[in-house]
Amino acid sequence: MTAVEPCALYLRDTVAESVRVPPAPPQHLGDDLWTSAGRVHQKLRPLRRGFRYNRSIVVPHRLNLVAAPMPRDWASRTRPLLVFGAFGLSRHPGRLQLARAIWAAEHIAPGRVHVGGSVDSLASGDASHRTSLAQQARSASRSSHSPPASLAEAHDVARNATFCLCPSGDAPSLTQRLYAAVSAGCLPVVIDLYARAPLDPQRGYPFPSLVEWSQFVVEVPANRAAMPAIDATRRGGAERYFQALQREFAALLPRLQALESQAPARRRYMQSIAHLLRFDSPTMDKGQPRRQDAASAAVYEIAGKLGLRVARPY
Amino acid sequence: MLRDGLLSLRDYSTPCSRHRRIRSRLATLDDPPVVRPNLWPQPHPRDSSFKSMRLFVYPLFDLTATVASAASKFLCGSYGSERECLLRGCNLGWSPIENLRQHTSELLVLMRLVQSCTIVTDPASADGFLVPALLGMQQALGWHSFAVPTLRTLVNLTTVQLVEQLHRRLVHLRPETAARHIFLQTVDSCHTGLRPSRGAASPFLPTSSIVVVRDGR
Repeated sequence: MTAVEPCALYLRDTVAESVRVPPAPPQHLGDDLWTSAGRVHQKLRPLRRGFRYNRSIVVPHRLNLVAAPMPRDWASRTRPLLVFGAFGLSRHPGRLQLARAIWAAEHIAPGRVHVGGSVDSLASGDASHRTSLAQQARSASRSSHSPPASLAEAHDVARNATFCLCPSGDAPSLTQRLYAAVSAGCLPVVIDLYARAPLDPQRGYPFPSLVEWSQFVVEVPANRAAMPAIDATRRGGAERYFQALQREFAALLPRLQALESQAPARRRYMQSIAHLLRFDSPTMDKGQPRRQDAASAAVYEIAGKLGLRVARPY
Repeated sequence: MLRDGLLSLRDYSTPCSRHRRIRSRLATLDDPPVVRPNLWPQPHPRDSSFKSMRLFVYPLFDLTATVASAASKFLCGSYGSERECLLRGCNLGWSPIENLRQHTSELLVLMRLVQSCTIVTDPASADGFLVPALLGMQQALGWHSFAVPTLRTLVNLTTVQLVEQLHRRLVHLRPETAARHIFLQTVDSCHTGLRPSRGAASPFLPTSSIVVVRDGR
C-alpha cells in the first residue's frame, strides 16, 4: 500500500488545473432536474419511490445561522412559549391545514402558541401573496402572531419555546428548521406532509448510530405504520392518508401540552448530541476545546458502512 | 505539503476566498469572538482515528473546483463575506431563509474525509473510493441561477453533463466495487437517482453505493 498526502492528488496544482478549464457559454443548470424531480407542493398527491439507496448516509443541513449561540437553559423546567412555528402557508396545502388546526386549539394554552407564516412568505415583496395569506388567516378565524421578520428573530423566538414545528418543505426531505430548532434548544416536532408509497415505518434521520432521535423528536404522524396504506396507482388514492394526517393535526396541541413535563429531560439529551448536528461549531466552547461535529460524525458513519471500526465521535 | 494542499482547496472553495483580507472586517461584526464563520472547521484531534480508513480519491479536481468556485463567488461576490451575504438575503429572491449555504454540507464532509483519512493511490489497497464531485452543490447552483444571472457564467457544466463526464472517469466503478464508492449529493432526496442520460433505466449512482444525502426516506 502506498500512502500519500491528500495534496498530492486532486488537490495539487489547483490554479493550473482551474486555468485549463476552458470558458464555456453560459448554461442554465438544473432545469432537467426540476421537471423530473417530483417536487410536490401544489397538490396533495402521493410520492412513488424511484430508487432506494439503502446505504446512504444522511447528514444535517449546514445552518444558515452562522453564529447562533447555543442556549444556556437546556435543563430549565419551562419556557414561556409552548409551541413556535414559522413557515410559509402557501408552499404546501398541508401547512395551512396544520396552522388552522393549531389555531383552532390555541385556547388550551392561551398566549403560549406562536404559529404563523414565515419570512419566506411575507418578505417576498409580493403584495398579492400577502393578501392571500391574510385571507387565509382570516378564514382560519385568527392568526396567532405576526411572523418573525428575519431568521435571527425566528431563532430568538425559538429559544423561548418548548416545541418547534418543523413541517416538510417543497420536498419530502427534512428541512433546516429541524437543525435550527436543535440549535435553539427547542424540541423539534417533525411533521411529514408527504404521503409515500411505500411509506417506511421509520423516518431516516442523520447518524442513527450516534443519535437516538426518539429521545427528543416528536413525530407527526406519530405512528407511521398505522397510517392508511396508499395505492399510488389510483387517482385519489391518498385521501384516507391525508384525512388521518388532519386528525393528527387536530390532536397535536393537546399532545404537546401533555409532553411538556418531559421537556427538560428531552432537552438535556438533545444538548448532549447537538454538536453532532452542526458543521460550523466554534473552536472553543465555554473555554473548552470543541467536540467533534457533523463532519466527524459523517466520516464515522461512512467507516461503518465500509465495515471499518473507528473511534466513536465524542 | 499537506498544509499547503489543504489551504489551496480551502482558499479556492471556501465561501469567501478573500477571508484573510476581510478578517479585520469580520472582527467588527457582532459575532461571538470564538466564531469565525469564514474559516473552515479544522479536524478534531480525535479525528485521527479515521486514519485507519484508506480512501482512493478520484482525480476530479477540475470538476470539483469549478462548482466550488462558483459557489464561492455566488456567496461572496457581492457581499464581501458569507455573513454579510446571509444577513442581506444574498439569494436574491429565492427565499430569505434559504440559500446555497445550506446545500454545502457535502463540501464539509469532503474536506473532513480528505483531511482525516489515509489517501492511497493503489485502488487495490483502498477501503473505499471517494468521488469528490459536488453533485448536490451543482444542482443547487442550477436552482439559484434562476435568480442570479451572473451565476450562469460561473459553472460550465449542466448537471447531466457532469454526470456524463463522471461516468467516463470512474474507471474503478464496477459491480464488485460499487458498494465501496462514496458519492456526495446533499440536496433534497427527490433529486437523488440521477440518470446518465434522459430515459435511462438505471440511475447513475449505483444503488448499492454510499451516497451522502440530506434525507434518506
